[in-house]
Amino acid sequence: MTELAGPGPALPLLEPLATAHAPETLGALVWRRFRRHRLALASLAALGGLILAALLAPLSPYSPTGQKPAEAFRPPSAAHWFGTDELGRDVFTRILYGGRISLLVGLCSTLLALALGVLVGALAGYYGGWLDNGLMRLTDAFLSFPTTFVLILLSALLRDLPFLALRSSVAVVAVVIGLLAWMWPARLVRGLFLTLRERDFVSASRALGAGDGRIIFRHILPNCLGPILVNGTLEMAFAIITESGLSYLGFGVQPPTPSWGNILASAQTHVFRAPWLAVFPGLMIFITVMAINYIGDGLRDALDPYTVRA
Amino acid sequence: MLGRRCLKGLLLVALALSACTAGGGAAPTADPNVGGGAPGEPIRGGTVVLIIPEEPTTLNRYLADAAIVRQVADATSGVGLTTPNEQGEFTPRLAAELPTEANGGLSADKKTVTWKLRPGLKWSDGAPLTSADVKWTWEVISNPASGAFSETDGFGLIEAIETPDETTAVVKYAQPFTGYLSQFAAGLLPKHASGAAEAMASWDWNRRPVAAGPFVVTEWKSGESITLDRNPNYYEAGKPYLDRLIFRIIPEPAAQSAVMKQGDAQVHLWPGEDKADYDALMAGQAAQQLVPGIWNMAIDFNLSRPGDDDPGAGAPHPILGDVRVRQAIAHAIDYDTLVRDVMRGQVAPSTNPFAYGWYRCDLPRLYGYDVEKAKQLLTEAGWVEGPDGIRVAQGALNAPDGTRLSLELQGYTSFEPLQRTEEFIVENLKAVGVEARLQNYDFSIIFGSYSDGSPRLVGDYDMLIFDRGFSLEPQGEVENTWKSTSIPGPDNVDGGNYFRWINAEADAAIEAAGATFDQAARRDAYCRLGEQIAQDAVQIYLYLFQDGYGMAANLRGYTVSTWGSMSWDAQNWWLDQ
Repeated sequence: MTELAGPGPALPLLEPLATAHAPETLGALVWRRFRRHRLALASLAALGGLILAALLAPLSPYSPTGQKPAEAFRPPSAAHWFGTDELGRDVFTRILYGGRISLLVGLCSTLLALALGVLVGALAGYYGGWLDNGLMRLTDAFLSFPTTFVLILLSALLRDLPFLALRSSVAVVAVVIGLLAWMWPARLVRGLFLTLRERDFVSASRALGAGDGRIIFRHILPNCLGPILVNGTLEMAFAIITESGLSYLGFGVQPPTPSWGNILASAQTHVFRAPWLAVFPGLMIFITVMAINYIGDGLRDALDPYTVRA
Repeated sequence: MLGRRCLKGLLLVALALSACTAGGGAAPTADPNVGGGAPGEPIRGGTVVLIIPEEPTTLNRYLADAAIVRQVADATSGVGLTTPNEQGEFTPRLAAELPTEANGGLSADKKTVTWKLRPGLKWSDGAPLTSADVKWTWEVISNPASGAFSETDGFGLIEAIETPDETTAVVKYAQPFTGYLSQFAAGLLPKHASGAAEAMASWDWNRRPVAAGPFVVTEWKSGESITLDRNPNYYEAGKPYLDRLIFRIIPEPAAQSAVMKQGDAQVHLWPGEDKADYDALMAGQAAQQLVPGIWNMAIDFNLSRPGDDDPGAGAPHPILGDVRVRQAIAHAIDYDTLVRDVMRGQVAPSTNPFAYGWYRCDLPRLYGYDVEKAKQLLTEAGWVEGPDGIRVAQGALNAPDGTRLSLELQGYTSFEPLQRTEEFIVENLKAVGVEARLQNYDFSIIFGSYSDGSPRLVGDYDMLIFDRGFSLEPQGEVENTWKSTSIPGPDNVDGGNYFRWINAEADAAIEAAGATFDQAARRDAYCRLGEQIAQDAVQIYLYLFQDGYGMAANLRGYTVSTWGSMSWDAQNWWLDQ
């Protein structure tokens, strides 16, 4: 790649047409730029490792709910890498299974929040007028709820619905968090749509006879994917912390199903006797959320066409 | 005219003499539950800080919706005519002596009790405490509009109270009441400083009681602390020794222990750690004193169909309506491991509700740990192994074919030992093919009232697990809990037979226990009731908690009591300097 120095803003420059390379795809460009962000790369590796470990959880010789009360409160050792808890269960296995729940809830609630948010934002941003007003007032209403209390209330209410009660509390938690996290993507997407709908390519599509739906989903939305993706990673971090908080309070995932949050809750009574019970789930939440945040940072830098980097 | 030196000398002699004769010094004792060891003379003055995990909603013991109320109220508004001591015997407090047949206090037909108050009693605001207050207390509690629901046994049996003079109250019962000594133990209500009976739930007195106890509330910072200062009008001369009690509200067990360890508090209610861990943590600053408690942990079954808008005993529970299923669940629990390993020996095994006190019954466990028997009973009852390990109905008594053997187990939140017990039981039941879904609710939901729609009272639950206990006089509660006429419903909102259990032999035993004053005969009747409860597997009793109190090493004069609370004898406490 030739270095072209000179006056003016250092925007990423296109390759000269004379070279024999194929044009770089967006994915490759993003990946190349992402790679330069060391912290983001390390976080990606860490998160990847966590996901892999969570997926491989069934390989553990211990069951996450198998109790051996006579072996309670053993400190970390070769047999039990993270020690045992108050009922003699292997903490490492429980953390792995808890990771599955946390990551699953994080992913599902983020997808739900993004789906809802993008829909609301797209409609509001594209059509404007009273639809925009109405949807934005709805968004404002949701934003003014005290999140923690509404989460607690919703999870208590949804628990009693017959069909959801048949599933585990995990589904309820994912739905509840998703229902309270769609507002930020909605605002973001609305802003993007307000800008993008005035662009030439939109008028061109309209002139060619494209309907509203096609314009929204085939033309404008793909241009928003970058910021939505970044926002999604931040949403996921929020979802994981919220799920842990809910489970800690007793409103999220119910024991004996392990979740990082409810492991922390049982650990607090024993914090003087068995501190490892609280340290490990806390550490996992910390690492996961930090990693997701750094990945979000890296993605944002990689996707932003105006950053000063080649 | 005495010379100065002579006067000083006389003063010194006088002081020395008074010190020698001053009462209240604890005799040397090795009993760790009394006074903390080395003897000494009570020192007047000082502030004691007591840690409580939650805030009482009221200090009116007749409106007590949780055990925490008494922990604070016993030092102020909860002092009445008598108080039970650590032996379970009633001792006179505001009464001058206990009314008995011998001293004429109890009539021959046992329907008239004459209480004599101590002379010169005053309320904390200086007004005289008289028999009119005794009568007033009865008028309020027996008034259905007052909303009193706690410590109310016997008030409904009183026909009239006569007050021939200021210190005599003659209580006339419609029928003999075996608990007459406990009648006014939960405190007296001041006629001049309370309010209308119908408005009792909203009295200012509930939060700032004009009291007869050793201390009086001077400040209440909600969520933070309740401060009580010495009641200058307390009837015991020279007591309380302490100037002030401060109840600090600290919900997290770890934070509570940290405060105790620093020496910023002297009494710690129900520490979360075991005695061994606690004492090691406190390293001499304080120690945990254990006393057998009244809190008996048991699983309760709903024998009637839940969720059918019929709170009565009508349709049987599809799964639990069959006694074989309940017996199987009883056989599935490993009681020894539960007591020894899960609860780490901090509890005593219990098999029936009468596990302490004068009514204690030592009944053997009828359905012991036997996994094979449990599986066999379930198969017999028409529940076969399902694809995911949970049994499915096939020819079951009350459930259509294909129903999964899945039950919801409800308990209350924020109590880790209960949660640990629940998880252990869930695992035990899974091993025989029963799925128990844990669902803990806040105290106020589990123990809410019928009108609040509490699932327990309305009949919308499968299994409950929580700890419960009796006071020294259990008859009222026994009738309300196990009698077939006590099933809660729209016309019986105070009913407590939430299992919806109907058993004629149990009814007969309960009536027998209430018909005599002979303690031995009553005890036998209670044991017969316990046998019926065990046989029908209405409840499964697990263990009895020991009450733990963290007490600072420099606190003296206390006695921990099964029948008391953290502050029941606060008038006797003093701080070593």
